[in-house]
Amino acid sequence: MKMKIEVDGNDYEVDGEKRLLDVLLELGFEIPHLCYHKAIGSYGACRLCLVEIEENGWRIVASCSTQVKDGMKIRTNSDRIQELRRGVIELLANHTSSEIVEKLASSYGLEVKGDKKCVLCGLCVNVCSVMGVSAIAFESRGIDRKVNAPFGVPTDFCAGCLACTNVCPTGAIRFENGKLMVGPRVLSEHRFLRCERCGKEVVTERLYGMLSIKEVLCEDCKKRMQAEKFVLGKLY
Amino acid sequence: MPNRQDGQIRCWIRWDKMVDLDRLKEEGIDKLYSDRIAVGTSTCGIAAGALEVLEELKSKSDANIAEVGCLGLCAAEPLVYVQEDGKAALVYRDVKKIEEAEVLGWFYPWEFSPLKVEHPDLEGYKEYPRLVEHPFYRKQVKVVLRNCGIIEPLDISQYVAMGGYRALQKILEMKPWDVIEEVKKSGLRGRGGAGFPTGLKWEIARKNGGEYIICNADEGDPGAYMDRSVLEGDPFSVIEGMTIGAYAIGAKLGFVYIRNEYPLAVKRVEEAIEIARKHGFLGNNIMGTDFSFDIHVAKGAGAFVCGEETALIASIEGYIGEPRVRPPYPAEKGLWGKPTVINNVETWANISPIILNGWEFFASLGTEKSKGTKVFSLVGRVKNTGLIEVPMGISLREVVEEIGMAENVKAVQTGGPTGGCIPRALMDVAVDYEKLTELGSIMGSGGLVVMDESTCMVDVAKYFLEFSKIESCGKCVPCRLGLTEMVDLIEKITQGKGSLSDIEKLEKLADIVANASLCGLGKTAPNPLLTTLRYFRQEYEEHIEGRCPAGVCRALVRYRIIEDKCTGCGLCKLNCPAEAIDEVDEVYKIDPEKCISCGSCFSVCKFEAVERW
Ligand SMILES: Cc1cc2nc3c(=O)[nH]c(=O)nc-3n(C[C@H](O)[C@H](O)[C@H](O)COP(=O)(O)O)c2cc1C
Ligand code: SF4
Ligand code: SF4
Ligand code: FES
Repeated sequence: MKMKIEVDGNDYEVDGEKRLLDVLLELGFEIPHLCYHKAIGSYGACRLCLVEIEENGWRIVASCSTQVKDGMKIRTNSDRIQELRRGVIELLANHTSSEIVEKLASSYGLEVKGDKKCVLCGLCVNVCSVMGVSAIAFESRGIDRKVNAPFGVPTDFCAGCLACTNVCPTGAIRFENGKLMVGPRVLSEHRFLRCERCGKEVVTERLYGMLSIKEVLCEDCKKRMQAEKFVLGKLY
Repeated sequence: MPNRQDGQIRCWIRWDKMVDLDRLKEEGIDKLYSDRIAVGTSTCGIAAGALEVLEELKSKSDANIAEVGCLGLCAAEPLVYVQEDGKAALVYRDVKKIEEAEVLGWFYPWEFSPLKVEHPDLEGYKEYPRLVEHPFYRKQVKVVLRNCGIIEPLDISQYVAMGGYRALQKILEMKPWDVIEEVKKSGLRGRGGAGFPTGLKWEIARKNGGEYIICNADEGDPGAYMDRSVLEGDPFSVIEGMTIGAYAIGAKLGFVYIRNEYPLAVKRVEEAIEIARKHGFLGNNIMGTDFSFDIHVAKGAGAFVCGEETALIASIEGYIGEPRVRPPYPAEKGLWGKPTVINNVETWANISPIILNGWEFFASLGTEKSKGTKVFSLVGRVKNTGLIEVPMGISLREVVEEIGMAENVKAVQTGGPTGGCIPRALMDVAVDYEKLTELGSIMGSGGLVVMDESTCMVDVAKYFLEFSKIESCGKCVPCRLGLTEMVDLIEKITQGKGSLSDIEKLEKLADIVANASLCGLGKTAPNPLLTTLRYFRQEYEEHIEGRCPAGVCRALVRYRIIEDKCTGCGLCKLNCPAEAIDEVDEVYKIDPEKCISCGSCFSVCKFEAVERW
């Protein structure tokens, strides 16, 4: 269904039944956002995507958690929004440090003073749950909140799919030497299966257990085998 | 016999499950008005020593001894009352030793309840005052607390004798939409804090195909114990309210979410549910009709944020107790994604009087937009600490000075840790959702903390900000980091290291936390700061200049002993935890290097020889 909306004084016609943030991004508006990913859904934690909508007077909402409505009037760049956005970015810059926060901070002329990378956006935790695994979670409350494995013990539930490291906006969650880590914490440890032909590390043991493939082959060897099959008619 | 074809009206189908309310009522009346001694053994009573009194009574007398809930005046607990020889109940206060107990007053067991009930004629006492004329009770109107302290909490017959389960019986012959209409017309608004119209919430849930009912008994505010007292003193009132709600919205299952720090309330509710089931008020075919509904208890681990409805739902589902984005509201998508009505304990306890006495009764109490009564726990610098219920619209001054008998009030904190401090000069404000909001505070769930001149307002703001910081779930950036920075700043001010620009920074942060946060905790957490800044800004400025006028902030107060006044008794030295006091030439002196400014010497000296400066 097509809907008419007004953004920063201009009229647009957009597809309905969508999140406001998606719509605004598609229209080319620059709305900073750290905790939203289309595939995961809204979480509402970073509070950067705030916009004003008119509903009995102007109201501040997180655009990632708002559905577009026909006739909606939106302000993405008012002084009020700039003020709040700047405030939130300043908080992030005071307490965390990463490329993306630096970029946001510099656009407001702010200095990055924090040390930790993680902004607790929740994308890693939520993507893990979307994958149906839920191996990692948040621990503690308030300022002590952190991403961790249950009870702080490296978990066997993590398959090593690395969806988390892929969605992380800050690079705080990383995979190093077979270890999934956030800061100094080890969330999960992995052993690799090696390619049957060339011996290269291919897949984590646990992920292999979840897949339906039988042989363990690296991408190169897989291609080579296909080629051999095709060219030489060799059968395996 | 209701008409089956209507489809919406319940039909009596299980004659074997029908409940004989009249028989239960007779039984209850017998128990309520037999000779008995009643001891208030809610948590507040127990803390004051009620269990020892109970033991002593049991060992000394073979009278019929009843354990009842909280009568309200916690300051005078343990409270014990005696009913004998066809006379009204005679209440004794501060019962430490039974022989020495003093009379507080007398009352008729039915006189606090708005429900019209059958009762025998009892004779009053001429020589003692009536409880309803006591300053603490005079202005109170009890709807929610109608049975608290009167009935034995787990005796369903006494509950029925006080008018219980008549409302359920009544609605089982009504259409669910009519029940919702009744609640809507009464003007009842949620008592958990936000004051959302209850009937409207039910209507939304019913339209979405209501599935679950939740009673929010998380009650995390420090100093608040309204919900606990209701659950401990009259659990059936909440269960009946929930059952009516379930009928109205079409729910089959309900949950009471109680924090595990309330062990007695948990136990009472669990047992009450069991008893209600046994009597056919819960479970399949309630009161013999084709309406079925059951309740479970869900225990919380005691996080303030789990009182927030979406966090509470997440907690029941087994997830981390952190708030979710709203909308969708629970009435649209709640527990396990199904439409859920979540209401506060007090809200639920209001339902049966509304149904039984009609919406007009309820709507006649209170102000234009805030109907009915509100329960408060009145604590702090008041003489009569306790649990009170007053009509909406009463002035804060009446509550604090007349009911609480407080003197030298400086400010009143309403709305719990995220509420605001209202100064004495504005205490004529009516207790009403909108009026309190205008002053920068909130109604909240009903904590009232009274402060006098010995309270430092900056210290108060710091205490509440710290509370919110610790209880913040940490999900969203403004609340997690903003409150942390705010606490650091206000800490600096209480240490005398602040500057005027710190006040500005605090105001700016408060704006961001209040307007950018995800849930109600962050949105309201700056209230104590903002109201103290609004009404007591001068105190902040004095701290910045290095003075704490109330002498509370340790870094800013010093103590010294005035030689001329010191008699050399040495009491201060005995009490100094830092060994900072020593005798020099027959008078005592404080070593400023060692002094930790705790003020022990100041409070123990009998000769006013210790000076604070
Ligand atoms: C931080 C926070 C704590 C809350 N704590 C409670 C509580 O302890 N008890 C309660 O009934 N409502 C509490 N609420 C309000 C609930 O979210 C919800 O509005 C209420 O339970 C709805 O019931 P009502 O309409 O009967 O008030 C809290 C809200 C917030 C934001
Ligand atoms: S590790 Fe990355 S994805 Fe996970 S919460 Fe932190 S910043 Fe977000
Ligand atoms: S406002 Fe505070 S308590 Fe509420 S979701 Fe955000 S961090 Fe959690
Ligand atoms: S993207 Fe909307 S709150 Fe983070």
